[in-house]
Amino acid sequence: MSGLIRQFCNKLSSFTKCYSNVIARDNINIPSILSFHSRFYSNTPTLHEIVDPNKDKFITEEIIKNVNQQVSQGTQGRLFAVVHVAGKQFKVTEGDVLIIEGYWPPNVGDKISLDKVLLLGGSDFTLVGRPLIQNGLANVHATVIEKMLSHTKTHFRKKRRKQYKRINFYRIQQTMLRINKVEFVGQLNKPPDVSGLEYVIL
Amino acid sequence: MSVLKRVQQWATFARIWHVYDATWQNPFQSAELLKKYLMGIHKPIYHPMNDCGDHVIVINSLDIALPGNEWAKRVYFHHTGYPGGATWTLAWELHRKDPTMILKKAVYNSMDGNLQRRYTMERLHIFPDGNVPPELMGNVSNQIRQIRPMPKRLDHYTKEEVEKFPKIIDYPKDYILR
Amino acid sequence: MVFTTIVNCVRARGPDEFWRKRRIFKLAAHYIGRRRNCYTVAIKIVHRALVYATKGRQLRKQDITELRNARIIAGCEQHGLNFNDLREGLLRCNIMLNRKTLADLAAWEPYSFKALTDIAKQKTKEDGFGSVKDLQAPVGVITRGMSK
Repeated sequence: MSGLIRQFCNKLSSFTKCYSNVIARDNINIPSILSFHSRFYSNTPTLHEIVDPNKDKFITEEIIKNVNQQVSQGTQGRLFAVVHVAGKQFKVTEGDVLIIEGYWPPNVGDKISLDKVLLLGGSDFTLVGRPLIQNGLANVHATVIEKMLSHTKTHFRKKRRKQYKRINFYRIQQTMLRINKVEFVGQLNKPPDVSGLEYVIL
Repeated sequence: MSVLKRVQQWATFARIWHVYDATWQNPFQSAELLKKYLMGIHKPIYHPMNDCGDHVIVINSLDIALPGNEWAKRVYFHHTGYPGGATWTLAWELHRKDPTMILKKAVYNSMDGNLQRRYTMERLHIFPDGNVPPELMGNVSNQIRQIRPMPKRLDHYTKEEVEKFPKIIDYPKDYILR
Repeated sequence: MVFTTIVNCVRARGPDEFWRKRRIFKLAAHYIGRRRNCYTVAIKIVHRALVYATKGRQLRKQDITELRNARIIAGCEQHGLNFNDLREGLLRCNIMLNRKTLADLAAWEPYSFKALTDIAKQKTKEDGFGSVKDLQAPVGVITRGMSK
């Protein structure tokens, strides 16, 4: 599921707004003999709303078409993504440098694609994943620049007047990651015929 | 900084002047609302080091409404520092002396007691009635919504509104109202 | 010279006392007065500073959480929504953005944050929970039943 798409009508004038069709109640003249009201029967017409069943479908399809058009023309501009790495979420865009703390296997010079993308956004649209965006849609490529240890941190505990004093020095492993590309690949709402084959080794 | 970025910076961090009508409002509830605007906590770009607080002009502080019997029971304590200099002033007495004090003290006491408080209070301007100097009123670009809806006095309804108001029953013509 | 009293004999405590004390003086280099030159004064203050540094790491996390909460609440209020309703609405829609990202979006990506508040509002309407101030559902949010 590509998730819920929310389109903002601010910039592109071709987008439509959604209004609900509520038909006003007609004042129907009912002769007095027939107009009796009981708990079980009433002559007054019930309030009803005639909604075009395909209206929502048309609007969503228009939005999806516009997004696909923008992407295929390449006019989407700079995109940002919210990426889940090593248990933390980062809001990244092209050219960002991330520091990931703790043990993380990739070595210096490795080219990595960050697959857990929770949100992808640009100046005209946002794609929100539930919780992740489908695999083939967003591409976030990064390179590992450096693997270093943090500065020496001191864990010092003291209880006054009790002759208790402990000092501990530690350095956490840190990995520096440079985000090379955040891009929107493929077309919205056109999922591949067979999904789930990305991780299968045939 | 490019021209566009400069404009964006100004649009984000410019200090906005808000106006708030305190008629029929509880000063303590209003204080909680107003302190958010003064501290800048109503903005998603808030940071305590950011100096993003806005100005608030409060009008009609003469017409504030304290709940229950607080007008008679709430006391404000003041000590001049000299021996025998303690005074306990009732709310109605203080309001008579200076109609802006109750609201000002309410806002001051609702804030955190840190060193920022006095600077933030400088941005609050309280007026007992609607007479605000035009220089200040000219800066205003937003009105803060009142917490309690202000009821309309019965004698402030126009004759047409009274006549048009739907009636279920009416007094008989020969009925004498005592 | 012969010292008649033992007190006047200088005791040698150990060969590397100088370097042991130098470690403390390095940390106290920017202090004022006797705090940076006299060991017995410096050691107490350096210990206090190290304890503050250790405890400060937890306080910094608390401060940052408070700031993020304040930013998200401010963003929600701008769109007429409760923080709890936003959280519940996004949770029920299976959108798992943490408070760090929500705060970043509220500050830096206002349109995306509005999208999220609209989704949460629509969810409160569809599921019937929370306390949303305006009675109408947000305009333009089409879920087509997908939010179930």
